[in-house]
Amino acid sequence: MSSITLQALSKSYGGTVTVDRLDLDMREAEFLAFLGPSGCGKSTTLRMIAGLAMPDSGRILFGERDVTRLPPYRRNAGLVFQGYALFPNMTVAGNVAFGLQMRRTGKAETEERVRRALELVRMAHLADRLPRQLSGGQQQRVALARAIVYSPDALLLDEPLSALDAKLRAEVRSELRRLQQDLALTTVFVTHDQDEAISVADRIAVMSAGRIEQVGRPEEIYAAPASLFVAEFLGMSNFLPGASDGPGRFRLASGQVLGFGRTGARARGATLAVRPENIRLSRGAPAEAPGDCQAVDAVVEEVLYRGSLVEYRLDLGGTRLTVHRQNGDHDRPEAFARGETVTAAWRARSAILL
Amino acid sequence: MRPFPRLADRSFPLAMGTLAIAAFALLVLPLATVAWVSFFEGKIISFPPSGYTLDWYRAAWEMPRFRDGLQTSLRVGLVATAVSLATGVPAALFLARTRFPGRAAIQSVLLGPLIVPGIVAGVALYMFMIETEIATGLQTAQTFGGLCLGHSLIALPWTVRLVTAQLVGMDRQAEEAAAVMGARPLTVFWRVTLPAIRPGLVAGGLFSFVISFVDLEKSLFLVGPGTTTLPIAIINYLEWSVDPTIAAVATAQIAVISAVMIVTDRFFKLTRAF
Repeated sequence: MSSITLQALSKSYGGTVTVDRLDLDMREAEFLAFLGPSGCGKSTTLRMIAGLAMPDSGRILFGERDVTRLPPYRRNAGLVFQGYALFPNMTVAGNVAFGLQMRRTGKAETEERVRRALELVRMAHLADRLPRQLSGGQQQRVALARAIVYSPDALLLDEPLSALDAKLRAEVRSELRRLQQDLALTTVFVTHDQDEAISVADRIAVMSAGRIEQVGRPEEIYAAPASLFVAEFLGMSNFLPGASDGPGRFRLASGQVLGFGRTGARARGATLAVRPENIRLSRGAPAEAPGDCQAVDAVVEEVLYRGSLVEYRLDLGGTRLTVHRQNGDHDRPEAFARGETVTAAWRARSAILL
Repeated sequence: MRPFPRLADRSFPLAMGTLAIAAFALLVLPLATVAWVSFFEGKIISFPPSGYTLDWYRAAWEMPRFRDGLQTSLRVGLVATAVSLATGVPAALFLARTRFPGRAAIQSVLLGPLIVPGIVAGVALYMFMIETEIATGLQTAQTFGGLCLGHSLIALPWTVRLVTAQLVGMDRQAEEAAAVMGARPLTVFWRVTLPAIRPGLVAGGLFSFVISFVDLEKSLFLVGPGTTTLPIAIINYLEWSVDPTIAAVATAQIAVISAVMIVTDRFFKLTRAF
């Protein structure tokens, strides 16, 4: 295992900049997710780390070792693709043994390590099967075993769960996390799925247009997005248009002035973001309002029952305001009907200027 | 409520079945007839036969022209197959995986022998060889080498076509995965690419052999003394006499091709290449 450092990494394809002077430091055994929409450069970055694409400029370090110009077969990385990419003509054990054979590991040791790797992914009992005899989830576990069996310096995962159905995805995901922690693997995980990124990664790097918009722990990024893009991409938010009106003050189009607690690192200053779960509804002024309470009047347009929560969609002078109210049997909050005018309130510190 | 299925519901499969049987009969009947005739007793082919015999097979085998022809055809077929694979696989790799100006043109030229009538190609090749000989003094026309060259040319498009189809359909991520796991380019080729395109390789080799084995038009111009192929020997014999010997030879030829196909199919399901 080693740390991974990317320095000013750039790559263009036919005049289009895909990755743009990207910097990133990963510590040993860290699990980092590149999260972004398709075409944001996350897969290209992964391919450059693997050696399958050559950067135009910049450097890639595994620990102290500069691997920027090394071909893939000299980097000692492990790679898992979305489409598994198993060798169809080799058995499960043959697939897993491949990396060790390339390293000229002895026969007895190879057998032993293949067996251990397959046990780690609970596939030892299917060692003699061919890939086509396995289900998608099983194939992906074999692909994982194949990538970790030779103790790579970096484990690279390119949307490894996207081809699996929802239930299996959650299962393989937690298995992946457990394995990564047990073996202390420095792992780069590329995904467009925010839930995946949030639930497995130590840190998330949100990418857009070839750059990292923000990098941090999932809860940091969720609670304090640096830009409108990040807030839009990760979770759900209400975006109130308006303009900054002095320090800590934001003026809505209606003329109402609201307070806010935080300014995004890459804020443009024309949007106030509030998460739906941070808003409380009431008839008239909220009963127990904290000191920094901000309140607006809005009309209920839709009420959607969504199992564990109820979603209210309100109209605030032409802007949609979404509010989530958790369902539970501990307290019975008021219910509101369509067409009703209600007061929506939140704390200034949960509002972010972006 | 419809107590009985409409007529069309029943007649459609019936029509399809009849057509299929008719098409199959059209393909098989001429071959079956040849095989049948080869066992006729009389020297003059007449229906119904006066009796059956295996003599014509012995007669054919005892004629040097057919025995040598078979041998030449087998040898040329094997050489053409080897040349077609050795040049067709790299060509297919290059065409399927690189983009360069003139790629489409090269592709068309490589597939040319499938489109140009064999007799035209034969004449062209013959003239080319003669001109080369005049210019360099190197004789290729009517030699075994020249014959192999011609047959390799008609075999090559099959290998290129069938291997290209496999390459286009293959999962390139498996190759990338192998490279990341530590395999050098040549190892990736041997252990990942080659197994993946094997259906195309086997089918390409098989077709190369069969195409060479049955070729008549090109060979007409390329054979010389001592390098007469089996189809040429058959044509030569037919010029002077028609008797069941020729049916026996043809049946043997069909048997060779069938054997090659059956053996190949046993090791390798041919349907996977198409």
